[in-house]
Amino acid sequence: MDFEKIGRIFAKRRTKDLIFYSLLIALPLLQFCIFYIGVNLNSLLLAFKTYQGDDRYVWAGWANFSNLFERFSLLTVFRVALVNSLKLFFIGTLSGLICGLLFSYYIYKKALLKNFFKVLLFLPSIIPSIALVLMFKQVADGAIPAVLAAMGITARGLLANPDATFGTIIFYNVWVGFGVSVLLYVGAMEKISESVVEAAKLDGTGYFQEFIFITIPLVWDTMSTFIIVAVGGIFVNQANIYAFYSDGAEEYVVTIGYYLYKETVKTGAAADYPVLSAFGILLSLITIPLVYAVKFVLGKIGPATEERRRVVEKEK
Amino acid sequence: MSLKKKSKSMGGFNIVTALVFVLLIVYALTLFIPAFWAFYTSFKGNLEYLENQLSFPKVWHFENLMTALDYFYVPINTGSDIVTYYIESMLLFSVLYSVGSAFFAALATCIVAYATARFDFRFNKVIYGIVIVTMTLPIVGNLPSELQFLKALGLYDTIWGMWICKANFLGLYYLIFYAAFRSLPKDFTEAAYIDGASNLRVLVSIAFPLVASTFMTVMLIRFVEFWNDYTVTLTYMPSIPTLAYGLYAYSFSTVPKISNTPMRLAGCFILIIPVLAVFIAGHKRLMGNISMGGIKE
Amino acid sequence: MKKIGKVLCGLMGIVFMFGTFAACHRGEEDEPIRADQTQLTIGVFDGGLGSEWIYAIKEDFEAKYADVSFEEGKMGVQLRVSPSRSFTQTGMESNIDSFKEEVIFAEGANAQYFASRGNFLDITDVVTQPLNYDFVRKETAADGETQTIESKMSETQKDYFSAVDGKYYALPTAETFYCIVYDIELFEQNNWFFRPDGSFVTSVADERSGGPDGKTETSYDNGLPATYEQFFRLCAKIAEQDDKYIPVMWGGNVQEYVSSFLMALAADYAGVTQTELNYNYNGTMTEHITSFDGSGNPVISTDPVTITAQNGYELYKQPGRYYALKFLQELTSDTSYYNHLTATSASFTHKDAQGQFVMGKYRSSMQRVAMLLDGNWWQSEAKGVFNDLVAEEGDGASAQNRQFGIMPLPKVSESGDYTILQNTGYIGFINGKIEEGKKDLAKAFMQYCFTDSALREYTKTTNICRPVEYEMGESYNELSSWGKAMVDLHENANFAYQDSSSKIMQNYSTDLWYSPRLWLSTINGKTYTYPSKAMIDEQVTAQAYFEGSIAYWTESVWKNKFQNI
Repeated sequence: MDFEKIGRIFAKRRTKDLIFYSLLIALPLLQFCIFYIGVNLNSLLLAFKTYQGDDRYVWAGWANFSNLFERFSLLTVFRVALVNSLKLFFIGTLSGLICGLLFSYYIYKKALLKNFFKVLLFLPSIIPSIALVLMFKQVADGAIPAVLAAMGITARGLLANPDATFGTIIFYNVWVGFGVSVLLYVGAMEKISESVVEAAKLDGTGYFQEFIFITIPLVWDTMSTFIIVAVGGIFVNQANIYAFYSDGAEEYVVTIGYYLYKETVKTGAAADYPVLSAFGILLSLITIPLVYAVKFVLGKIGPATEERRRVVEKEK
Repeated sequence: MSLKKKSKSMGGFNIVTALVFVLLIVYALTLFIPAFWAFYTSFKGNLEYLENQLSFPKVWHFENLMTALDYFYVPINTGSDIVTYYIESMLLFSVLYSVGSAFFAALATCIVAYATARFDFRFNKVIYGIVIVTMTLPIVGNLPSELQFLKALGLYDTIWGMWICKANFLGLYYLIFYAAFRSLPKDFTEAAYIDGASNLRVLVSIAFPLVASTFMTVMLIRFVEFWNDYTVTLTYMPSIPTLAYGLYAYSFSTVPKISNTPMRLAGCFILIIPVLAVFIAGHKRLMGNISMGGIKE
Repeated sequence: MKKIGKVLCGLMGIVFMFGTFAACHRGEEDEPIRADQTQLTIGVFDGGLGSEWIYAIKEDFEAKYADVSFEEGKMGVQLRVSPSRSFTQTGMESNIDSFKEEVIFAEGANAQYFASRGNFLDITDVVTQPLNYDFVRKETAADGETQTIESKMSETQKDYFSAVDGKYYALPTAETFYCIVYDIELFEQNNWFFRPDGSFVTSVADERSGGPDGKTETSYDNGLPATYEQFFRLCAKIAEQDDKYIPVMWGGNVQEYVSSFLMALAADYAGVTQTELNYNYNGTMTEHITSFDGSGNPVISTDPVTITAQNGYELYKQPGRYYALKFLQELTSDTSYYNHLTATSASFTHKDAQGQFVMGKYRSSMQRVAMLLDGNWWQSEAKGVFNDLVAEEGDGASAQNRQFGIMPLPKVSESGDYTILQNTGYIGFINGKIEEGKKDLAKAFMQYCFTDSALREYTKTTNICRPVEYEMGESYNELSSWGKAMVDLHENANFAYQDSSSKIMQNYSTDLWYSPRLWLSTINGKTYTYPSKAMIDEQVTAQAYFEGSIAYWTESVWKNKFQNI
């Protein structure tokens, strides 16, 4: 064999590949440059400007950041919003994850009515939020108190009662959020070869063990992607709060994402854009390392599953 | 072996699925009770609704749905005239806008994912970095500059302009396509290359068909998202009212006949019914097997 | 791709289906475009006040110019109404450049902001020329009104609307405010009026007190509670009959209505000048609360404090704010005084509250409501309920025939004049991008809207007033009892304006007049948005809430928040 020739062929192919690769990503990248970088650059630069009225901004250096830090110490809302965002992430994402996995396992196992449930779990994703929020409010604050009243208990609605409000909002978000994740989990589970499961069963593994030690590790990659996406959105997630309260939510239900959103869309927000923009950059500076860190940790735990897969396959 | 038999005969029932079944039933109830309430309330008269918001209708006002259809219109000022768009035009706009945007968004994502999954270039890291950063960065107040760009490029107030605007490769779906392409056995493509197939040929006749079901599902998910987005008319295409915008306008309408809760719910059903019909009819095809692996650079 | 095709086919099938269904019967058909006439398009915010008032003056205006040609080959003008929800601050901010309407009536829009951006046409001549000057024919008519629109405006309005560069770019269009509505019929049946000696009347014929203003010659408020003490005595009396009546009601999903109502109460206490300080930040605050004494009463200092945009936080010490909170504290102290079960419910809207208020009379199963806390435009919003009731109960149930009155806000202790806090942002203007050939016509229409006859039509159709001076004349008798009450107050009350050309108001108006941001208060490390929720949910007292809002608005918070003032 003429290694030089093979080398040339490969080099030639590599060049061809590069051209093809460039052609493929050129248009999407151009789109990105225009509609993301082009559009947003100005907004990002706002973090270093200050408002002069009449839509005019002038350079202000780091003033917005110091203003922001002053705000942190002066106002209580940031502390509450941070706690709420974390609550939303840990309780909401975690319970969403567990339920999502369990539901997917159920569908994957082809148990009773699995197609029905698969469609059902996707249903909230296709209903317009105007309708969904209206229905949910009516049940939470209209039907539930009425039912309780019929049983002789006087109670206020879930959204009206401040002790239950944030929990209800977390519930709502989990409740409507299964659609895509269940689809993906089921997709991943169905890739698990039957023989792996059978082999494990011959070992005498129980169903709980099967779920925890076989199913979960095998969808680990899918799961970690979801976790990473959720971590990325931890401060962006406004959790439908705007749909419930418009911009008048009480502080105890405010999340960072909601705070940013409502401050941005309020009328005459222009004067506040610089500080909000600075806030946005600051949040990203926290989130981006966090995303990479979480990814690293999940990856570290991950390989165990690869080994396990190998072990199981060997046993077979 | 006996274990296997048992599980088959029970239709996949075991202790875990039994518990999950209970959970799912609860979930179904939490979904059906509000939907049921909304359904029967949409057939109530307003006075009856005000009197008791939870009771069944004494008289079923089936005509509510027809009334809602009649009042489902949006007047649009075109400059020379005020054109009233009725539901069929809005439906057409909605279909064009949502199917088109969903298609191009899925296509852009799919192509970039293919490029980065198939070829091993250092630039892939940049793309990956872009996906992660854009996912975490909250951007404020970019609407005015976005509109400026759209107007300058002549894309403002056009449907195809929105197709381009929405055709980005960012977000979760990039990761899904990436995983889909990564999981394809290399043998397929290698064999084709040895047969002398070009890169384009491999992409179009081998890779794309293999991810067709993923493509359909991603498109479906995006489609639903665009279908329900009423803000697009409000901000980007003021003379092209979509159905979702129609519902928005309808639900804030001040026409005495429809500005009440039962009629508003009846209006919601107008928006829900088409998607629901398509979805139920085609869910087997639409909700194909998609899966996504981890994030590998 | 086959699948996409199928999906598309399915959707098209549905399009077709909808088309055939809906085409057999439509809502109101639009008036067809008249090709032989020039069209003038009037944009109007698609909200509670509606566009009926334009239709009421349309014919007369069109007739006025029926014989004038504005475009070659065309004769006369056709007014086209274009309702949209874009005619508001946010919608205009992003899209005003693409608006094709020639004359626009917006809500919640900051006139100065857009005027200084150059979006509005200069209408100084419309405002300052006499009303009988004809912009189209360029002549002054022999008959008609000789006064100017400017002469119908108050000093504050003139300053505000001409503040950009001394020219007028917009006009105020609606006099709206938050208030208490009461059911006159119900009050009469139950003798819920006061006698001059402060006891309740025993019959309709019984002599009534002078009401909160203390004057018996202003008959619309006679017998109504003059003071907080009387008001809550009234609530107690209404609530006496278990569960039959609810004294005061509001929509649980609009806590901001209560917050705005509290601002109205504070304004009524403080009077025009002291109230407007909250918007113009230029003047002297004459009274402020320094502390509370042992028995919880406020200690009021009369040391003058000069108010500028730099020390606006001082205004949170105004006594009016405290007394407003005190009112709410007393109202919420007894669950039978208000709709306790629905007052914070997210599923109970202001329209539901209006519905219950209006229809309680005809439904024995419902608790009847004595007073409704709402905006003065409430009748326009409740039109649907009125129509449904008329269909069931006959004409007596119409908004025109039912007896509803406004309850002027009771005073803290002694009677006095009324000060009404008028909402900001209701403006009319001519689109700066109007074609040259239509400018005069648009000006003529704008002017026409402010002639006495058009102003009267406006009040007749909307049951509220335009915030300029005009006489209702004979038309007064054609108004519903609510409309009459609006005119009575329009003529007798003092109006405080939120419109101000102060820089702080220009840059941060939402933070200064929009209700969810007006009552921020930090108590024990928790910040509250709505006094109503704090008081109902956690029994926070007026004093604690008041002190909390001073604690929230420290000097450093103020300076941090308002940077460019």
